[in-house]
Amino acid sequence: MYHLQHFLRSVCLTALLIALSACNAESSARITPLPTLPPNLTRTPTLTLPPLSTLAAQLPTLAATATPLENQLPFGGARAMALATDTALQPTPRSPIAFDQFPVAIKFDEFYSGYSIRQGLLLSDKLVSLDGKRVMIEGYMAPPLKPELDYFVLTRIQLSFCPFCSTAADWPDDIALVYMPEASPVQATDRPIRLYGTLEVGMNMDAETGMFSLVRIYAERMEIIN
Amino acid sequence: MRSFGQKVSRAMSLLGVAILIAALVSAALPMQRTFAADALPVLILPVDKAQFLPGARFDFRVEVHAEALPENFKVTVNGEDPSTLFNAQPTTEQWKFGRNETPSTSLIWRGLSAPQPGDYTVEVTAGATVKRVTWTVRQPLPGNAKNVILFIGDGLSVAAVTAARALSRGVREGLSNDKFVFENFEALGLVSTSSVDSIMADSANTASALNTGHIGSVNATGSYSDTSPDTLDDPRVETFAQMIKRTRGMAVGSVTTADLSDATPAAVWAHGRDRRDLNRNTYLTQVLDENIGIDVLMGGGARRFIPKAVEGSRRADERDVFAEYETAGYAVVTTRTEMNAALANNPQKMLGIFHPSDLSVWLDRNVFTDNLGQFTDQPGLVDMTVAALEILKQNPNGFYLQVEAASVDKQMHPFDIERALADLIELERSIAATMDWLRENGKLDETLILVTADHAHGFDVYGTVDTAKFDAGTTDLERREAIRVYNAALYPTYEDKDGDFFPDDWAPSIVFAWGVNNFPDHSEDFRVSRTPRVPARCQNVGEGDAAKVVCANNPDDDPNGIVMNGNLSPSTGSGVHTLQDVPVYGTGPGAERLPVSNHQREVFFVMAGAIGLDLTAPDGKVVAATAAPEQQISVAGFSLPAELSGVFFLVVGLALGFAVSRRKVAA
Repeated sequence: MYHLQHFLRSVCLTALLIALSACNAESSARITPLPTLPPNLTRTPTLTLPPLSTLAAQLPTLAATATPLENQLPFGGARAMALATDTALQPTPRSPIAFDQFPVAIKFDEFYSGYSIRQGLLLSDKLVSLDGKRVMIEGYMAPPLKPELDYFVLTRIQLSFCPFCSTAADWPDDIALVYMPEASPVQATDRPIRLYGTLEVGMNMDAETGMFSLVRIYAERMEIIN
Repeated sequence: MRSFGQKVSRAMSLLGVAILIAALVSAALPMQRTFAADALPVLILPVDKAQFLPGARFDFRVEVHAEALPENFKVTVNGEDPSTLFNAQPTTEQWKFGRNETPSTSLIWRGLSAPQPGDYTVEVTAGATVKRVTWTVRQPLPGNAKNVILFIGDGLSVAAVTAARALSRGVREGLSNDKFVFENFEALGLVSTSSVDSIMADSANTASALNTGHIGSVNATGSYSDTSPDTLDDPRVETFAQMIKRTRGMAVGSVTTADLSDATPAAVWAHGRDRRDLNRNTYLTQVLDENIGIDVLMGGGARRFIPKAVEGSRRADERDVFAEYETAGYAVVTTRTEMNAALANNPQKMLGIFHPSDLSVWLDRNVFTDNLGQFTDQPGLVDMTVAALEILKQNPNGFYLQVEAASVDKQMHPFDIERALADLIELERSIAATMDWLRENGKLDETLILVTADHAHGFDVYGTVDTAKFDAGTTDLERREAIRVYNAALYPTYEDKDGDFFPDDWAPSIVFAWGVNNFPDHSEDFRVSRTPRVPARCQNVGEGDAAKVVCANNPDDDPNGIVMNGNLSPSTGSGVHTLQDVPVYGTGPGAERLPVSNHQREVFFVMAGAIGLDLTAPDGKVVAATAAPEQQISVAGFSLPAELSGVFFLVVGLALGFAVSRRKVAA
């Protein structure tokens, strides 16, 4: 019974994630790296439309994997994929900020400087300046898909529902995709957590789930805050 | 950890065992093939007792829950082959649904209409099943209204109106100092709100009932819910807006304080079974893709208009919907300032989107402005309504405008009562502004105005609370002593000295004691909340079969409040809709047809009758000569209802008979 339910849930999840990702579903677990994008597609936080739409038009051509029923990548595989592919879309800050020391503490409410009705969220200079730098950030693990994780979604507030698991649930804007080191996956927790790692900013699609993320953290370690 | 290959081989072996078991079981049972003797489940959509206007477009689906149609399968409508009767060919579709992978084989005829009034009995024979449903095509009613305005207070109940009126106008020695403008209307009816699939109601199918005359299932808009996996292919019914657009060339507007793709505003034009995320995005593009022609669209939900790749987007595709609306000729505005500036150019069409999600409520826009964030230039419902009227009035054929005060409901759910009631008062102000505008534009006498709710919440006032005494209490028992009922309640101390129709101070010393009839575990201090309320917090608990959601009192919400032990399922974190009938207030031509009590789908027929809508006539109007015999009879210039005409003739007959017999006696 448990297996059947698990299977049904996985099927639902698969459908959801495929819908979320607009990815070209392929039955195999083949991973194709993102092709190098032409320099005119480099994203900056102050870009005016339509470059983003142009970029958007190109994204579906990037071959993605079908969402697997179970994690088909080895632990750390998603991290390696993301590291390999997300540098192409690095934004540049309007007024770069220099930091005295690393890691720099950054909070979720420092991610965005505002929201433009027509252009969506506007990235803050602090967030963009920290692209590629070591940071410390606190938040909550979004209710995950499985107990042992090599990547998860970090949220500002504790989410009551797993947005992966329900079509009605919405991801909040304040999220970051966290990749744990290959060798040290973590156990799921509902406690607040603190992460140290390297921040990456720029639109990227997760190779495994097809989930779009703007902010990623390649974590070195995670602490549970009591 | 097992490798992927190992997992596959394990899965294959499990599958093999399953097939073996299935084979053994099926060998032991009689053959599960479709025989004429089998009673097969049959679903017929539209459902029994559905009502239509002649010429209204609809899709007709028959589902047989079997792998194939049985040999004796037959569909008739009034004894005829529907393909002949409606002059349309069906499409055969198959799918599986539900946990048990139930097969469904279906025929669907799309874009039908029944031009002749009368009853249409559908009979489906499938195996041993014979299922009948009867649809009624009603006579179109004559009417001279040129415009229709439908105000929907989402979640507005009579109790909410009473409480909001007391807050806004005050009550002194039993008498309200003033009425709400719609309480001076000449007609009032009560309507029930239940759904096809549930006795309870949801904003999607209830707003759809108002806009189509068809009841529908929870979460469905402009369609009857089938069992197919596609939530956008369900059999459709035409909306009032679509009807008046194609036959009368009228202008149409939908204005809301919610995300524009939300159930109520989208019910004006949208078709889909599931009001949730992906369908909501589709509803916004249906306007353009299906050329539905909604002239004015105003509300929130910007994140559903920007391409998926833009941060903050909620779309699942790369469409820049703002740009598409602009290309289609809409003036696109994103602030109140932009809206007013654009109006100066007399645009024919306008898309106003003023917030990433739902618009901020009146109380946050006017009192607790810290909650607005950067969105300090949002229009209110009054601004949007008048702006919409200014655009719609340019169409010489008249207009239909639906205006929704969405946050009465949205704030009732978390018991944020002051925010809900302030938005109800704002709705009343919008109706007052509309009446003024119609008067100034000479349109008051040619416009039907209806004010109703899609469904209610279980809210009512039962006394007052002495807040000083409440705060002095250290236990719940002591705090409860501050709650005063019957004659001890006296009067609350809300005041409106500045004459803006809203209380000057939302936290006076004596406030309403109010309750709702359903709630999760939460605490309540009866006081206005500076930030929007979150009465309960929910958690995922357990894993696998034991996984569930449990909601509990949020310690940060009303920490000084009385603890209320929930009477809802622990998985429900806020209040839910309730069953009570809701009011429909009406004024203008056609309002006299409001029912005393009926299902809310009747509101659609009242709107259609007000403008004399006849979809089968060349100009879409009921022609006077062939007008439906109204339930009235005219004698010597006096109009009498049919029920009274019998009495009239009886009296006349008796009088004549009496006179004749007297003459005979006299002779």
